[in-house]
Amino acid sequence: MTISDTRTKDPLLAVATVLIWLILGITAFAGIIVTICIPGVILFGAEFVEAPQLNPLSTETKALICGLLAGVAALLYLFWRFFRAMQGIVRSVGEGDPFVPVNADRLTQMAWTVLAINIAAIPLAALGLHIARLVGENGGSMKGAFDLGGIILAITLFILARVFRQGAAMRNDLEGTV
Amino acid sequence: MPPITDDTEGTRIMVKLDDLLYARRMTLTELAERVGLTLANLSILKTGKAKAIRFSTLAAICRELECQPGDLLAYDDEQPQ
Repeated sequence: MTISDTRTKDPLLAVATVLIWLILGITAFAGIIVTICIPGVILFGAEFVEAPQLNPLSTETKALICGLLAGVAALLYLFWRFFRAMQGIVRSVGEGDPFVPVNADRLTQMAWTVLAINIAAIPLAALGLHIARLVGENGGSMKGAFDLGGIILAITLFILARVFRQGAAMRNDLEGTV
Repeated sequence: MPPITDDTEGTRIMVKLDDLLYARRMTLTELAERVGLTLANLSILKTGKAKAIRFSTLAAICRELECQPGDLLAYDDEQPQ
């Protein structure tokens, strides 16, 4: 019997699979909405986002809002990529064969994605705050734009990627051993 | 000592399980049951497709076939790459 024949029926994996599909769906939906908003703001201004009190928006403000929306869409895409990679890992665990080099690549990709999300969130938060001030709204503060937890997660994922790469090499050694 | 150059290095090891089984008038299925290995794994060993053999497997086969590891394995220096 090969390792790949051993399918696991772990309830945690089943929950994770459903949850990941749900997150992917929500993220994709949000991404589509945000992307649609970009031409909407250009054409209809603040009325498009149901804030007519902010009209008329200057061209500069419109450009900044579009930049912010594009940034958010990019973040959502990164978020989506993160969970796609996680989905691949969960699937391979379900198939009973997680120690493969592709999972190490997925974990590395997830680590870079988390890092990119955390770094990109800082200028986006600053841009959001700037836009809020331009239109006279209270945009809050920059608190929370930098998340230490995200950096720790990225480091953990980089380390896990190395663990998986080593595990895949060790499994390769065992393959064909009788 | 020259290093292991590539993965084909292991193909120089010949497994003479077929000859031993024939000499002992034993089937592969019977040996598999006696040593506690699956027929599929023993078949991999017999056909020379195995990359490695555990000492425990080697010892069990030697016990059942009443032979030495050298009777089961041989190094073929002439085998083309």
